[in-house]
Amino acid sequence: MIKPIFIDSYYTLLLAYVSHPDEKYLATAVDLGQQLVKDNVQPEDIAEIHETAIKRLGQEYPDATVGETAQLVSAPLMEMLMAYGLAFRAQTESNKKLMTDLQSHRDHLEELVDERTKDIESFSYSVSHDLRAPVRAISGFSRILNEEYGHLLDQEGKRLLDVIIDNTQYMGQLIDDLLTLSHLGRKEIDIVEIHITELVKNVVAELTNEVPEREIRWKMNEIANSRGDVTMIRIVWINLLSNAVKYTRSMKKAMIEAGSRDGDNEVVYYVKDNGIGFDMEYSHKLFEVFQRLHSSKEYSGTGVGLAIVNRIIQRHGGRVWAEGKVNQGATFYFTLPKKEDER
Amino acid sequence: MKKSDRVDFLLVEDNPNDVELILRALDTHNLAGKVFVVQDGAKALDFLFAKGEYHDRETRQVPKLILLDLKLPKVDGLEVLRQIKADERTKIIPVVILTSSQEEKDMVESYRLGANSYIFKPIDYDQFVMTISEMALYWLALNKLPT
Repeated sequence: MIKPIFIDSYYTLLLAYVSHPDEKYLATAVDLGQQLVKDNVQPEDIAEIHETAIKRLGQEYPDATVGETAQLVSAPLMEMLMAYGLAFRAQTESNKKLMTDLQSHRDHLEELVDERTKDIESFSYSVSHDLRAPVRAISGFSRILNEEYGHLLDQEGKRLLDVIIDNTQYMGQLIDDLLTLSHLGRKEIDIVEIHITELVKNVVAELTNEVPEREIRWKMNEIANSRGDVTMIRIVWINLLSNAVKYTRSMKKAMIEAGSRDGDNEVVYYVKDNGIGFDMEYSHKLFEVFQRLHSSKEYSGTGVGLAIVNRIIQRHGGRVWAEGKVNQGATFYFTLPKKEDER
Repeated sequence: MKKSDRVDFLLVEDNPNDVELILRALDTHNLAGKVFVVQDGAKALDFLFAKGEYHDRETRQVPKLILLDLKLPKVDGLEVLRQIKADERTKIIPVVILTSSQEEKDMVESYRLGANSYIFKPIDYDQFVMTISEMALYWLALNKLPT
């Protein structure tokens, strides 16, 4: 649809041109052409503007000579406008080509990033994979040494051997956690509807079994269902809940709460405990690989668990964060996007 | 080994440390005595099909169970598995893949080729011993195989 304002200004110009066909109006034609281009008037519309203006000129000045003069003198004007049109069309086409080029560069870049990410992941996979064999040997043979020749060692000898065994165990756990992390980065996500209240109940039952000596008060609210990969979301809950169990160890009355609340386009899930908490200053480090806020002597672990949580939630299009205070508990949050029609 | 010796396990494993650990784990149930070990895929095939250095072996005496690593010199585990399952003489022998590979594609390919079990070697020695001995007990005691 051509804006009437273009036709009006073209008509005025044409009229002035017919009455005084001199250089002055050619300059105005340049302006008009530039304006048309700026306003995104399509080249093919320029001809139509011209036709309409001529027609109106004929109607308002029925004198045949005016019409003829108009046709005659407006020819160079038309030519100029058409030149703009052509330039504009060329510009549009070159823009289009640039956009396509840009898009294909972007796609290529993304491909490269994907490729590199895969390279890095398969590298870290094969490294951790190949590391398992020697660690298995150290672990196995030091255990055999302990069992079969332990009686030949004095106390200090035994202590040294235990150091080796402990560290091998730790390294084994580390490698397995890294493998899990890299595996989660590459595994395809299989999205299904997950009954979270049920899932959390099961995880809590398992965790409670592992620490029969602990007295923990669980507060399980009704938790909203999620859409996600069951295996992965389960790993998220296991990590968060077992952390809560671990870091409330020193509390006489441990309390762990899990729940969810409705957000705009997402559901926010949380696990809250009254454990040893953490310093908010370091909260950004919590979700990075190998970052620990407590010594592994106090609280065992490899520092990969929350990185796994982060990776899984990121891959589901959600966010993770944590709030806490030293000795006043911690709350870990994660979100999962709602299905389009539930927003 | 003598021609008539019946082998319970054929262990195909190139890492001598793993071989020792597996034998020790089997030994916890006095099963280690009937294991025959080969270090690469080619030897495994020679043994099973009585070729090369095993040409005078009695092929009717098939092992009860094959423990197969995937990463092997010369002929890899998947190829060994493919040939075992493609041959009438050997296709009924249960094959347990015993590997460090958690790669989904290795697992899928193993089962596709007819592996009977896929076991991931644990790093921790206790778990390792438990895994191996439970696996052995299952296949040789609990599970019934044609004699």
